[in-house]
Amino acid sequence: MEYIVEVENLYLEYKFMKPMGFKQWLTSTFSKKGGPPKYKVFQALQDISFKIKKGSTVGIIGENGAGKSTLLRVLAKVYEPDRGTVKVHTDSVSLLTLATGFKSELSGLENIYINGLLLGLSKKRLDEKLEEIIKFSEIGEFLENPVRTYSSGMRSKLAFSIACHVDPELLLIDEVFSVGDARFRKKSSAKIRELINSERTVIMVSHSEDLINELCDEVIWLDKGKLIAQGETSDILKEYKKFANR
Amino acid sequence: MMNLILKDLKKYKDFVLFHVHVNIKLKVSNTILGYLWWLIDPFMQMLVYTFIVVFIFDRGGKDYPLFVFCGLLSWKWLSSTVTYSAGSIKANANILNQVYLPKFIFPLQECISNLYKFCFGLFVMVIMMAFFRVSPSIHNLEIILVIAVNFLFIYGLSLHLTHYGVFIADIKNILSHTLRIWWYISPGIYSLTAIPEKYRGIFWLNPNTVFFESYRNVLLYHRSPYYSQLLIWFVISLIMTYFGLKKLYRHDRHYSKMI
Repeated sequence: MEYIVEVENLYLEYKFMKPMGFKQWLTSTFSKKGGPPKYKVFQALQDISFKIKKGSTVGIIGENGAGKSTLLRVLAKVYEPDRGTVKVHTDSVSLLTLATGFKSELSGLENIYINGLLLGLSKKRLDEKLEEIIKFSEIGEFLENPVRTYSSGMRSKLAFSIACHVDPELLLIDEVFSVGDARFRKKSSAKIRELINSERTVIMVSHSEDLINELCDEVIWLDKGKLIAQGETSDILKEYKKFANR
Repeated sequence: MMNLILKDLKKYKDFVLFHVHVNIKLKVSNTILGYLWWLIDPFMQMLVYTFIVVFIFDRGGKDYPLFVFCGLLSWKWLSSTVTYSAGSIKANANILNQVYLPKFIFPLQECISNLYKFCFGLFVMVIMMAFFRVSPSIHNLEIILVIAVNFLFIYGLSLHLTHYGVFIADIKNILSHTLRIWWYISPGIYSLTAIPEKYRGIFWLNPNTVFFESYRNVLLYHRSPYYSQLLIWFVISLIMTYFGLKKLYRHDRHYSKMI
């Protein structure tokens, strides 16, 4: 069984520049002892190690702030680890998040191209899949209008539609299951199920235990940046429920 | 690193081209007059400077509108690209949280979009030249070399600003004042000949002196551009671009954590 993702001793921290007045900035830059630290450091991920087999569907669960989205971004190569190694044995990776990256002044059609190109589709593939993407997103006649005229639901549906047509080997899904009205949610879960075939590896972050139970072979549980457990879906979910109801 | 850049260029070629195309549309999307503003903007500035220099101070000569238009076009290219680049990583925070993008493409696509605007301005310039009865000359073609070095300089500078724009919160203000001073110490609204001989050496340290004077040479004065100075600035721009790219690649994956 080959592994598509191998993570060893991953550490990642966020550095926030402390907002400071000019006087403080001067003293901290030029003082001999280095002065008070200009950065606030937040340990987002600490000593995470796990392996994921090719073709499996993995859920990532944990409370808010546990580091789930951060972990996905590391896998998508958006962030580089501060320590440790992350090996992703494929170039075809896509991260599905909520409607980001749209240029609100441009039309839906132009944004389909921009986003699609960004997510790794070639212009040729985009031309081929254009009809499908438009139909799935249900934006209809708003296609030519600037995105700033779209409702938030439309934006999410469009983003989702683009991203799920990308066809990557490793699909990372960051809590996009809650977008849209009930009807669209049903359609999107059906589409996600379609995407979860034996060839494709899917790693999804979700708060919906039912969804994780139904779709995932195994689950990784994160809490406050640390990996608490990894294993069979039902086992981990049982432990998590106990923890969540403490 | 060169391999990495070439690989990235190939991979993101479609995206850069489409982004340039889209960027150009974006620049006019909010407005009714659209592309007409690309004509009106430099034109209005030219009128203001002509009014002050020719009518109030009684200097500048009869071709002054053409004279100042040259400098204005090149300057607008530089200041727009540089200002955008300083804010580009922060502005694209959304996209950068979802997908990895090599950062050098932000200043690249802006430099290309503004080059497009520059060429539009050149087109207007040609019409004005006909109006002022400035005859064309073979030297007009040499403008391509000046544009090439100008591009490399602007791009090299923008690369560094793309990096510093992430760390320095005040950069927009600092840049706006620095750029204003830089414009006025460049021979844009005045000719280098207006500067006394003994100080001209200092002025040649400013790359814009080379660019502005060269543009005017090839378009208005039937002369060649300043080739030796262009060569020097070509080399300097090359070095600047190299180190700029190096800096961006070294910090590449850490920017998204900071914005």
